[in-house]
Amino acid sequence: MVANEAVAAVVEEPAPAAGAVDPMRLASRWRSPAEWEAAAAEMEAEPVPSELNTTNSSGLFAVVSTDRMSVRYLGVNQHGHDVGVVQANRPAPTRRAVYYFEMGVKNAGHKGQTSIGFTTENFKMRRQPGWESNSCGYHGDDGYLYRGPGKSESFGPKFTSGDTIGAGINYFSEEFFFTKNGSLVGSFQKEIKGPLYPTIAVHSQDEEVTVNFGKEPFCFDIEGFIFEEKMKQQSVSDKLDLQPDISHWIVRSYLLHYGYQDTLNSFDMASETDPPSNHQNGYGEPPEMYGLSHRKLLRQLIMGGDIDSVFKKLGEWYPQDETSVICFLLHSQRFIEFIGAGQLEDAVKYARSNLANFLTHKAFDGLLKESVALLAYEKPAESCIGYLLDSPQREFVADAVNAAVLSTNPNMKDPESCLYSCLEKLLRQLTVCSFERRAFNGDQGDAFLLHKEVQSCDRSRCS
Amino acid sequence: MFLSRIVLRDLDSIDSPASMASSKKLVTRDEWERKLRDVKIRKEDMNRLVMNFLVTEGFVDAADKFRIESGTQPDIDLATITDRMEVKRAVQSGNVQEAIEKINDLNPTILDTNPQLYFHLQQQKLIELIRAGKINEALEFAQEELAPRGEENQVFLEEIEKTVALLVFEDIKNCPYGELLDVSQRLKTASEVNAAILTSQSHEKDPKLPSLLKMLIWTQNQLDEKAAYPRINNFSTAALEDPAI
Repeated sequence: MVANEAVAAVVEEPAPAAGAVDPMRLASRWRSPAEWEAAAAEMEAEPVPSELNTTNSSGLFAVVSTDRMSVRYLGVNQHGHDVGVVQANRPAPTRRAVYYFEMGVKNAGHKGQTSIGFTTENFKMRRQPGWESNSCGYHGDDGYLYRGPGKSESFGPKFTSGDTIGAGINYFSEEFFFTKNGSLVGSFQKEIKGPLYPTIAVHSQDEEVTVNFGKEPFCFDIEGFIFEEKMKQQSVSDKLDLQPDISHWIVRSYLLHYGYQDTLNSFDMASETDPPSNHQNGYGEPPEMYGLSHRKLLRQLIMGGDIDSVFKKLGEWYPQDETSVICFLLHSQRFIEFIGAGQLEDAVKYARSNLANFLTHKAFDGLLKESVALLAYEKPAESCIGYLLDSPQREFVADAVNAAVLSTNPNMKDPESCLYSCLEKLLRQLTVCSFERRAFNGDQGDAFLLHKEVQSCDRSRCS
Repeated sequence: MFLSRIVLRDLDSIDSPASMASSKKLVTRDEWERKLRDVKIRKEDMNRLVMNFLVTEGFVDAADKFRIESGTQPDIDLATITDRMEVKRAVQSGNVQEAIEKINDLNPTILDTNPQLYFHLQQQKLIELIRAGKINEALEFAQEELAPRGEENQVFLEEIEKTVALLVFEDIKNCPYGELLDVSQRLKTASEVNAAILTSQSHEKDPKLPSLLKMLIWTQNQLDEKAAYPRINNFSTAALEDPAI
């Protein structure tokens, strides 16, 4: 309906060449799954404590086991400066919602003076965590919480042989918390800055404790705790008001942007019969009606693997330069389709006449190499680059063609708009804001990553 | 809402221009746009977000078309959406008894495990009887079905009292609890039903997108305390606005 009008407008107006989209940017949107994984890992990468540090502890008062997962007091304690205290090999990671570890009291020894807590790098390694400034500790013999000289208070139950005690940092609320045998004991404000080392200590004859940095399942339901904290956080933002029906509008403009016209029609039809039908709500028509039915058809052809027809239609509607990114992507997709169909000879012939020209172009390097590598496998679909034969690769090409068509819209004000839908712009903004906020907050806490978010809805369904 | 914040911020800067300028880091548009470009977002993930919206909001035909057009697998059996939407529609059009029967066909444990939902449906049924002017039937239903439930639960009792009060007023539109007769009451009950069915199918009851949008508002507000940067105030255009210096 409306789409046809847009098409009519195109016919009247000779389409300019697709120059507005920066070819490099289109190519840079292509990433292999391996690269995606690497990118995600880089965003989240942070070393985590894995064992006890045997080099910075005094070694005079306690001995760490050879697996570096437990510590036992040596001899008999005489005073307050002969604590067998051990830190983890690395500080607690900060780029997450919560950090947590546990200690098992294997033997409470003569006095049960085991303890758990956090200390900074320069901690005096012969004192209990919490006795010195910039440290905190939960002590087994009195159940007190210690957080600096002269600062101790009644906190929770005492603990002894057989108990499992946990210590954590909640970066949402900026609090420390402790647990005993799977139950939360209490939490308090985190006043200490800087890298914090998980720390355990023994301080009387025969005392022995083990540590668990997450290799073994925790006694405390840490996943549940994080979930609760996230819900708390979400309930704060859920109270905020959104523009009415804005989600509906954003989804609709996404469908328009990518030319998912069949979906759009069903969506519009359902919206008319269902009550909140005022989705237009004065936002005005999205700018992306342009070339809708052309874009839909081109997408359909690409998703169906019919690249020859795409070339034909594109040449007719939106002529492309032979050396353009779009042509390269389509040629490489044509090549991939040959391989998918098992026509290897045709693939080779096609590559020689159509792909070789692009070999010198740096932006295309990755995709080109991987595509050509498909030839090396007897069963390419099962190879490590088999993803090239899957539908996301077709969709990637379809999206590029879609962007190229959108870029010919003479009324397009912002060239970014042919690359990014409204939804994507908002998600990018959310990601950057979230990372910036964390950076201002001493790199502490969770940050938004869409991939993690959509996976988490899968996870919560499973549980 | 957005407008008022901007005005307030401007006032702040008039009050104490020096402190504002020194305490906040300024991020220029160029710098910000570079950061935006560096964000890595997968198309498949956006598709899943959109699919999640279509499925949760019950756009079954659109979800099916989207599956074909984008190759995104829905995170729930689409057939169950049709059933869910039929129930929802029944409530929205005032056919509460039909809705109750359909819910029981779908999964009899939903109402058993959800006394509040069951009560709200019965309350809605009473409202519909009153709306239709079936006074005798309404009275009978209130006494036999609803009253015993009010004895179990104080909140239910108050709700019953409010609803029954509708009977007393000749001109019910102007009675103090007239809002119960409003379409919004039906929508409220319908969305409660919708959420309960989704939960019974171990699916989240709300779509992800609106909560992400709220997260964007919240995060921008938080970041405002530390930096002046290009915000997005109008979500329907997603246009960046120059930082207020």
